[in-house]
Amino acid sequence: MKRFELTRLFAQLGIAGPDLLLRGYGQRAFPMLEHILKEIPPGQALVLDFAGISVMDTSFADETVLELALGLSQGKYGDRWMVLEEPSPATIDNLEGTIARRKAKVALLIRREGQMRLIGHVEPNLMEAWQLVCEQTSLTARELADQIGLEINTASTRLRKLYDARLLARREEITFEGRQHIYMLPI
Amino acid sequence: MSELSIAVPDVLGDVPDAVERLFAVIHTLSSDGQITLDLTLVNWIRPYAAVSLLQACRYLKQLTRYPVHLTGLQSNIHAYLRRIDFFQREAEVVYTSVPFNSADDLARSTSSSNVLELFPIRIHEDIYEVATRARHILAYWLSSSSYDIDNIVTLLSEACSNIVDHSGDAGIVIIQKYDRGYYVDINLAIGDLGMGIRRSLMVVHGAVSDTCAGYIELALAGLSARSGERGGQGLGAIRRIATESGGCLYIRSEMGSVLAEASGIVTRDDLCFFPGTQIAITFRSKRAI
Repeated sequence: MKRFELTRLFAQLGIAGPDLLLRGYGQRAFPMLEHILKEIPPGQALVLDFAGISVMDTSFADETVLELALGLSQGKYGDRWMVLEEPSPATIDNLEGTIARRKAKVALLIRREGQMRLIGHVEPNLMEAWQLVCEQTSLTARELADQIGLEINTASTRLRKLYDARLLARREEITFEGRQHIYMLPI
Repeated sequence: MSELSIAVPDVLGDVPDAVERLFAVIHTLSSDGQITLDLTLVNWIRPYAAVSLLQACRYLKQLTRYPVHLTGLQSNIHAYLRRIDFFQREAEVVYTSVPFNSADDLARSTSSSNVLELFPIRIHEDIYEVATRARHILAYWLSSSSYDIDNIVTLLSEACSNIVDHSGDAGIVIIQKYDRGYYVDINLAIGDLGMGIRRSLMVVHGAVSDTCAGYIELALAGLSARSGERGGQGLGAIRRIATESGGCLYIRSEMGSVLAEASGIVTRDDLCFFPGTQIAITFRSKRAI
């Protein structure tokens, strides 16, 4: 896991803070954030720390956080994740509004006051699976299938979709029954 | 040099739609000689009207090449205009010869003031500057709600960025607080004399509507004046924040207007032409009880 304090952008963008505003500044920040994401080792998460950021407006979020999330869900950055830590409620509203207005099929991992949650576009059945993983720390397709009465293939597909969207991490395990994936939160 | 004196109707303290009577008066004026706007009838003035009046003076200066002369200012109107730096902000555009005793000037201390004076928006850095100033005064006005302050900063940045990014003109913004008992209304007014929404969208998309109000509605729905994939977020975000708070958004551009409230929108397309875009936003902040 690598943590990046977004307040460091103030100096790099030549602004006083405490806000991250405007599309043009977001466009300038994006290559910096993308570089940091690409630098972290595969299998790890980039935590964007919002401490000290009062609000990130819709346009800045559109050019930075949403672009990174779309890139992650499209596999552009490989086996890496992004978690937004302690964004303000107004920033969360702006992020949700940005995703909705852009009709982007993407969701974001948020950690606030120690609790993980998802915002954005998530199908209800995937949200149910994600919440079970969140509650139980880790889950296999077999365990998910047993808990909510699904076919193993359906459970496996749901977890795989959450992994592809970079909303869950996974590790492979070899057992006497064969190979299986154990799904978990990325941090 | 000829001079023409026009009486401004008593609509400057009313809702934005009523300010159309000011634009109707401006629309009738020709480009010959100096214009005097007589404000004798005006009893009250609100932020959107102040921005509209200033933009009207800028427009008349462009037409006639003479600064506009304001007369008949009642003392409360004169004090308000001085308080918001109306004459100082555009000294080459508008002036008054009405005497004023500076002892009657309204207070400017952050703790007692209800207004953040007219602030010019020319470049992106101006938006950060006005956001910083707004945060400072909003902390006094809305001490208990950082959420509301953050939302108002978002309103400011999204509204003002359209001026810099799309209008091709410099704009102006003002913020004012109104105490309403159980809640506080924060009014933002923003104006410019630039391309207007219709023309800025036509550059990229061609003629996609028959009316000015239609173009405003398309912009609210996310149509962007940027040629790339992204953009078009700003007005939609403003509408969401304003209406979810219980407030509203009014946009006027060229001959059309759209009023967006939680209950829906009201459009007009029969307005007198006036260039650029004028916006009034009301954000409603509930008081902690």
